[in-house]
Amino acid sequence: MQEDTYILQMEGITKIFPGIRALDGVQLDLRPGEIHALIGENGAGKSTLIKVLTGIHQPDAGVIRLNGLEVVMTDPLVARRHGIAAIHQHLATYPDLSVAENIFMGNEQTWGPLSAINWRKTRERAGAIIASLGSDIDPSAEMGTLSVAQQQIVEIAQALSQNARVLIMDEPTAALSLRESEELYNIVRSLKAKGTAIILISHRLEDIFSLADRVTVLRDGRYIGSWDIGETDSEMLVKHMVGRTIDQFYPKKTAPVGEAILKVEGLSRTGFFEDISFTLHAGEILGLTGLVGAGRTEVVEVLSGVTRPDKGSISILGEEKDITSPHEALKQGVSLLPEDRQKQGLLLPWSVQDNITLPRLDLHQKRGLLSPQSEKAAGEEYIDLLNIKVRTGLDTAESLSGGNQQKVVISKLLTCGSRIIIMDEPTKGVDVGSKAAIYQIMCDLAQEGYGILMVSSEMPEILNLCDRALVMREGRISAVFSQEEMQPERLLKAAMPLDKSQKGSAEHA
Amino acid sequence: MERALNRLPKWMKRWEWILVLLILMVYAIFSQLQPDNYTLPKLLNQTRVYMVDVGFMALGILVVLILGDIDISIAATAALSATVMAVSYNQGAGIPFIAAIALMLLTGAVCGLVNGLLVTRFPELFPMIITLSTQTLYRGIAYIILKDQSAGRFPSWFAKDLGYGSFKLFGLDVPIMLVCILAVLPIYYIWLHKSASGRRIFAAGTNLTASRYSGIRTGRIKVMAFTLNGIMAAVGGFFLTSRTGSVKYTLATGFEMQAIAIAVLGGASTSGGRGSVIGLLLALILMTGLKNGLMLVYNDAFILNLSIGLLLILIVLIPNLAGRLRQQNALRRQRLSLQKT
Amino acid sequence: MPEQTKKTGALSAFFKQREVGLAIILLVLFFLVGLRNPAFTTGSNALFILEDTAIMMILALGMLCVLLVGSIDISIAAVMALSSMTAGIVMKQNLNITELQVLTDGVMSNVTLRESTPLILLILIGMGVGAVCGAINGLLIAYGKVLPIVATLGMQYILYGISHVVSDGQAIYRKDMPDAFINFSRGTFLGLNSKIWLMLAVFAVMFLFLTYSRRGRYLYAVGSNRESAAMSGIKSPRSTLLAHIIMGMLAGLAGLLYASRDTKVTQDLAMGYEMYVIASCVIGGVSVSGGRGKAVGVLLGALTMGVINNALTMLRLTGNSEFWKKAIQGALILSAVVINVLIQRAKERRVLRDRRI
Repeated sequence: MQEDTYILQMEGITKIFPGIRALDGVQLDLRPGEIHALIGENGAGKSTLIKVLTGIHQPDAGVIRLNGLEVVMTDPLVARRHGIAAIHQHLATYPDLSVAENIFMGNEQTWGPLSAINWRKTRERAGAIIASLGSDIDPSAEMGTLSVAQQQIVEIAQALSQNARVLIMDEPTAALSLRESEELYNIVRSLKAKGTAIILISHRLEDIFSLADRVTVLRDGRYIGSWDIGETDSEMLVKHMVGRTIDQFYPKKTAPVGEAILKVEGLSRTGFFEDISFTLHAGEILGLTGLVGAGRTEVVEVLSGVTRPDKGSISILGEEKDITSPHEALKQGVSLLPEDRQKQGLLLPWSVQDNITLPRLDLHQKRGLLSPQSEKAAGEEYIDLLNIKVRTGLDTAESLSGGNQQKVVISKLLTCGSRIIIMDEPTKGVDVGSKAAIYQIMCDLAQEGYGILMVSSEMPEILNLCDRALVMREGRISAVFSQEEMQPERLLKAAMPLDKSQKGSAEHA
Repeated sequence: MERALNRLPKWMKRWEWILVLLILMVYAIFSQLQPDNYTLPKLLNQTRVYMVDVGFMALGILVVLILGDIDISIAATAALSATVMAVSYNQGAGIPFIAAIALMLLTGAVCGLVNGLLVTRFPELFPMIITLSTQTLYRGIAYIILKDQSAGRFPSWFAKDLGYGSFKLFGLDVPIMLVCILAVLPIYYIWLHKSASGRRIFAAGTNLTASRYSGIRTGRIKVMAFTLNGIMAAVGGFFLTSRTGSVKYTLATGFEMQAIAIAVLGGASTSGGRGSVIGLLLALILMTGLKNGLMLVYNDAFILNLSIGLLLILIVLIPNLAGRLRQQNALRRQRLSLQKT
Repeated sequence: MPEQTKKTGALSAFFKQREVGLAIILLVLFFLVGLRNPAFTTGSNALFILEDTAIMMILALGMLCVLLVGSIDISIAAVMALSSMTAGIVMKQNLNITELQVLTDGVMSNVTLRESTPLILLILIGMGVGAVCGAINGLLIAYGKVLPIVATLGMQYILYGISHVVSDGQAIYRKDMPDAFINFSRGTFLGLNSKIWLMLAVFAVMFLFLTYSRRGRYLYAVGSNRESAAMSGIKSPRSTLLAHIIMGMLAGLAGLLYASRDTKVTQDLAMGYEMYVIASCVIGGVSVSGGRGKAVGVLLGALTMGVINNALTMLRLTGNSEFWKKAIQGALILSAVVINVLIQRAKERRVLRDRRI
């Protein structure tokens, strides 16, 4: 390939942070009008690479070339001026300011020798760009009042306002319904037709296969390879992402399903979910799946007392309960493994031991005071039980890898001894070895009569571990499947929102 | 390998020794400047002026700081509580002094409770603006009650025995006030550093969300901390009044800053999750020696407050700058090692 | 069809604006008080309130900038004290008093001329000192990462202390001031007091700055979402520093006006004023967490505070109302911020309701 057929070339990019080598000699090429997917597990370096490209970080080694010319991205503004724009996972918007101002922040439409901002021009141009994307968002509207999907469209408008030649999208559909995702992807396709090159970071392999032309895989900060999309398939990609073939490492679940321990009826929370009803039994692993944004975590938060429902009832062992707080939930025998282990599950600067004993400090009290020996013993017990890789129980939680951190949170869960265990994405960002250990723990718990409600976005987990699966779609339960009825296509179909086009009627652009 | 922060980590141990060093330095400097007045017996006597009242307030604010919050209404709370005590004792029927004291404590508790409830019910508002407004409100109420006058005429034992009383120990006159606060300190220490309740407070200050998810009743803890803070502020005001003999609405002006300075000097961080009772005691001693010395040399309250203001800013600023320097050095070292390869 | 909805949308959007609502409340309040005491709603009283509040408004416009970036400054009263004390000492030391004999209408009379350093220089000194104080605050907060409340709390005592030391405990009185300075806050032009004109000038500049200049908009950006600002290439520390310097400069100016009005500079000038200013901003719709607030709103908030103050005196509701002012201020700020929060929550609930139907 000649160099000038590439709009972007990144070579030998290395980036070091205190303690970690986030990127090690990574490369990435991009052709004009190409949709290039960048994939890898969590922590593989994708976000860091993008931050280097957009000038947020300076690489410690390596070059970036645009149309053959070497460029140095000293800060985001410089990257913008070179035509590189990024839409991040966590939207970079100003909720208190108008849509038009959001679009042109840092790139204001000015007027006259004093560079005063020309608001009329700002609004008009903003409106024009939004219209060219096929949307009808009001440029004067306050950003904070828009939905997530609309905000993303505004971000794309922002990129376009800077004549972006390279558009980077980092997990753009993470918070969108399937319909909104399709609309977004149509916009992406139209941008491609206009010659914009797009780097797409996504975990949804199905989306990648329907959209991308080429795909690059990163693993542990290293460049693994790039392939044309036609030359590869998901299995191969996953293998590259993970580094080894996926063996069948799901333990066999043999626990018998017993009595009903948790019954939910008509649970609703305005704006998040509606009319949720299901039953969880002892010894059962019940899956809760659906697309991101379907409302699964919100349901789980209500069950574990983090938030309160507007309607409906929760019954534990036949008695209706009002769960007002996580403390109350634990008292009633419901414990939660939260989705974000770093923010919600752990006290990072604390030791592993102190983290584990925190929910049940009452177990370690001797005459009113905490007993260090008792805590140490508890810490060691769980470190052994779950095979947590630490030197001693006094190592800090933040020094652990993702998988081991998750094991610490699970230890916390186990100390509570609740009969009803809710796990929200238990294996997200966890290495394969720890995943297997976690699955085994779940089966063991079921064997002992606990009931587990598992929220998961990973199809294999649902299919292989769960006795039954609930599928949520846009705030409601769309289907319930038993172990025998479960099949990937059925689960996916139940998760996808009902669309007019699916019923055969005409689509509007 | 880093050790967990609440297990007397190395850095904390080091910090407390630095405080000891500073105390010795201050003593050395001022005993040279004022050899007649800066003696141990005289210092001990002066602790009633400089140490006890603000010390109680510092103990109160310590818990709030560990939680990651702040409360600048403590001086106003002290003023209002003392006002209530004075007025209820003196006015009209004149209730027994013990009852007046109880009312004072109740007032402090209510002031703190209001703060706590507002902070927990309106997490969108920061404790900063809430306590800023309650500060004005509480002092304002004291102003309405007292106007520009002072209230006094307390029972004689209040000023004589408590305010100025002392007893002999190893030939030294130890103020009774000092004993009061020294008696409270070990209880505080055991509670904060050795009990489950204290551990939960540190947890809430380190990561409120994760603590809540772990079943800690964070709302309740916050309300409790602010209420306790209010009570301690009232107690501080109580001892302050015993010494001055009267209450004006301007009582304890500037004490909120001193209390925060002492707690932070003792190892608390404005971002929460850190704090030490032993550190606070050492900081208190240091601050007392400093204030004593400054007043002997300059005899000027303005200069005193100026110095403490400067001290407050420095103790918050220096660790921040040191941290940034450390980070930059670490990065530079890594980049150098990368270039070598 | 979208055109029409946009037009009616514009009208209702205008009324939905917080500032309009506030103005209406203010007018209602004004006339309500007038019902009780007719002397209140006279044009001259209204003008009096305006003049009385002008200094407050100047300060509040400065505080607006600080609040917009998500910071706060409770040292402004101390800044006022220090800057006016500095200018005061300069004018005192350079004071020349000349006695003249002047012939007017055939009669000889003695006239005393008081002259000192030119007024413009005094103003520059005052604002300069204020700017330096603001810069120190800004540096501590933006670069030293000190919590704004802690930094300005400490600075408050430091600045009052410096003011005390510099003044040697002495105050500056009328006899130490040149005529130009005494008349600074007293001159009239077109029937309006100089303070009002100054306030209008500051308002005009601030309005243009915040609405049309990039640096002004960056204040909003930094307060609205600090991380986004970094990604847009805006350097937040610089904006924070700028906001504090503006506040300092305006505090210096306000201090001079204050001193001129009272013809006195004491080392503890304007103690307690900062809460008044913050109250004005909060009532005026400025968000304490940053990113929201308008110059017009701030003026209305200050006016509201002025009306309430004036009303208290005029209504004689509670004996000598002076004593209630502090408590009312505190209660007002508290209610204003709480109401803000409740409104915001209601808004969010409505958004949630519209989401899934």
